[in-house]
Amino acid sequence: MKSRVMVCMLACALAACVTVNVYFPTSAAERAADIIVKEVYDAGEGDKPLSGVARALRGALLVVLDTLVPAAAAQQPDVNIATPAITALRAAMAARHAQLKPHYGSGAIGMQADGLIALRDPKPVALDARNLVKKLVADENRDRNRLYAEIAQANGHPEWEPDIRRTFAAAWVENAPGGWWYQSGGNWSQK
Amino acid sequence: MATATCRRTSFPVERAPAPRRRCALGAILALGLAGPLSAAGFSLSLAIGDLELPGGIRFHDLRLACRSLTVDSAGLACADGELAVARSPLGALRVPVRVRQTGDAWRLSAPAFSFAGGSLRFSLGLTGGAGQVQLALRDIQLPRLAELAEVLLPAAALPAVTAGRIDLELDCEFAGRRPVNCRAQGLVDRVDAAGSSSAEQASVRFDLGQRRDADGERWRGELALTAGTLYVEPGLSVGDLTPGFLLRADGEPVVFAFELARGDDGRLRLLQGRLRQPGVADASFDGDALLAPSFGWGDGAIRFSTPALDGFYSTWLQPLLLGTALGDLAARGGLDVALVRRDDTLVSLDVDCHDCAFTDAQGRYAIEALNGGLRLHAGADALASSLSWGAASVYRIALGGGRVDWASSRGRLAAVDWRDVTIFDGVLRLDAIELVGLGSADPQLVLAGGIEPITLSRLTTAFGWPPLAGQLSGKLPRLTLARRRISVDGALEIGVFGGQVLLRDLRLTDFLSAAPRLRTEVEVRGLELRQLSGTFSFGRIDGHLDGAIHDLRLEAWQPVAFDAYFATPADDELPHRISRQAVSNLSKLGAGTGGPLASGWLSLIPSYSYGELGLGCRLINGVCHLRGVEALPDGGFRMLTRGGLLPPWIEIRGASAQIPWRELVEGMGRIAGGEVEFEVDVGGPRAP
Repeated sequence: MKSRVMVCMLACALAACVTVNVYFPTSAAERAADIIVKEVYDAGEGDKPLSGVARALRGALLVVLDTLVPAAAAQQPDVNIATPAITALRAAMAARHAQLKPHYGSGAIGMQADGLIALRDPKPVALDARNLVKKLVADENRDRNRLYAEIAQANGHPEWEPDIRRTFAAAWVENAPGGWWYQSGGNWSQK
Repeated sequence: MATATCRRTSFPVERAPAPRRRCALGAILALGLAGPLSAAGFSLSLAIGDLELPGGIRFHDLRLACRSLTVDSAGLACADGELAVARSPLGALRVPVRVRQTGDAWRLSAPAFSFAGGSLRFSLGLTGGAGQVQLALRDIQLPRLAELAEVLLPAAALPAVTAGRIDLELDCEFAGRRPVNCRAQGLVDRVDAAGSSSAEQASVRFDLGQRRDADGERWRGELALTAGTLYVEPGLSVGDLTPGFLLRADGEPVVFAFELARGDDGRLRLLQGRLRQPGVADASFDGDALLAPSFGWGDGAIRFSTPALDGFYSTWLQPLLLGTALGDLAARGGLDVALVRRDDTLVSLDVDCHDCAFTDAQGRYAIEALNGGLRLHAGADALASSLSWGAASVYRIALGGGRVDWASSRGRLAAVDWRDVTIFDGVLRLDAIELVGLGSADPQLVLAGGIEPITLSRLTTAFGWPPLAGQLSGKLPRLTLARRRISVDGALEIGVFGGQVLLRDLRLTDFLSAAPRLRTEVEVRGLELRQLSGTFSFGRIDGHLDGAIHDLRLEAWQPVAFDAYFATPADDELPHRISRQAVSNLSKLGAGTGGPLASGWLSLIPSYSYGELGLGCRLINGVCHLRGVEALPDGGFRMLTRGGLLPPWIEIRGASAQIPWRELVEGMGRIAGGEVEFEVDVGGPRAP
């Protein structure tokens, strides 16, 4: 009887000590960030005209890729990025990107380490366009802040927001074309 | 106090002292002019190797020479001196100087000499602890002066000046090292500068005055933009935003006059301000607003008047509102505003619109022909005002014209009379309107009233939805519109499809953002299924329907979660009949018995009796989990039971289906549009 009590107490003690850790899914979050960032950056690019041979080759390549890489595996990053709110924010950011793009290119806008953007050098922006660019930056940052919070929320872990923000900050820079400016260690660098 | 680093100093004056390695400039002069000099006609030369002024300004190889130094009973004089500097931030300098000393009074002056592409003239007088400086710049090239500013203020983010010139007259009196009475006038002409604040061919005439008294310093000034364009970032912060204002001088100058006070504690306050921007704005401020170290309105009265709201909005309001729901408007009309604050409290606010119109560029809201105004005050007596508008819209909801008469007392504004507003072909009836907390950080508009019948098809068509038959009416017990949220206390009652829909605890947040959120509880009573099914081309069903949607949550107007169940009420008095088409669609919805109707004799019967209809959906993670009137042992459910007065009877069973919400909605859309019968590809076993 005494030993049963001891076993029960030990079991209770062990149960009380169990801690369930849910780690931030870094790789999945990086894939999710890449999907959204590429979607935004590619918005408004438009398909370049292809020759007949190039079109045929691209078609064949797509068939091969479709066969070898299941669409679900290619598009589902294991982190939910498809709630209505996230979808709406993605669409808003993609629609805005065409207006922001020339200002990334001119160096007027830079990517910050906190996953937001900033007007780093207003000089390339014409005076009568300054407030428009500030508006675009403010709107973009408002949507990015909401996006990071929504992704954390949609995946049941609001406390992941800083990790998601960090992941996106890296993805915005990683997927950016050469020549765009980004913040590193408090200083601006050109990619 | 200037200091000098003396590498070499020589005084070819009798009794010249021995060279010293490091000394203060004042000490050198005193040293060179000391001694029993009692005759006229001496010459003096003074050489200083390096001179470093506060701020790190270095002068190299300075030579001060006076060929005719006279000394008389009154004092000392040098009428033809010259100061030469081999290297300085302004390059090599050669400055003619005159010196006169009488008792303890010194005067150093320089007639006009070449400087930074133009000419400079100055005069410095010292008497005891007091001093006076007069400076005149003519046609000085600003890019060269900017180089000096970069040396003087290396940490400041100064605009890069590439063109422009300046004329300046400065007259300043000092007590010790402090300026006590100064005035600067002049013109900065045709400036091109790029930075946070920038200029394009801008000309600014300025007249600045400073006076010091026991309380600190007072500054008065007037700046007039007479030509070109300026983009000014005054250093304000609004959230994460640093607003900038674009000013153009189109024919007439833009004039800004001000009076500032700076205390010895470093606090900078605005006491008066006046802006005259012809055709755009006439604004004034009288009071005491703190500008630095942080901004605070404090006490004061602000008035502004604009005959052209479009220019006023884009110049002065939009920069402060960027990133908000008011940050992208097309504005028209004229506006007068007067505001008084005291002890951080709004004392009064008067707003008068003259045919104003505001249209959100993103199409979220608009209001036209706004006339009259609002008068709010903190006093006890009721202050009347009236505001009317010609038309308005919120998203795609079209509202007609209206008028509200207001009364204000004790900081509150309440509507005392109003005209009801048309909404589509119905009426938004207002029983109560109140503005609460106007002038505070969280103002609120509170409404109560109701909606008198709107043809539902007009509403649904406006939103691009399938046209619904019937009418919509309802009660608004208390609707509160705040900065980022709309909430309805009590139940919002909507009459639709012959029944009643109650929305309880409705909360709409971020409603003007890309992804608004809505959360509410829904109760449905006595919907007539004939109207409902007819609207959706679902096939005819007779009977009533009750139900509820618990914890309905929408994001970006799309449902993300709810638990809904609709069923025939127990005391339903209507006959229960269902058409063949409705049976077919309903059975496909539940992945249940649909096949027999297509091939058996039942397919010849146009309608059937039923006992009870029940269907529920719990939406979780984008998937609708269906359930029916009763659960079946095989895991399925019964959504339609046998019953009714007239044969043939029918029952429909459903499998334990889970349907992706998106497919469900797309299928419903096709049915409502009359394109196809409802088809959903669902998993799970099909009932026999």
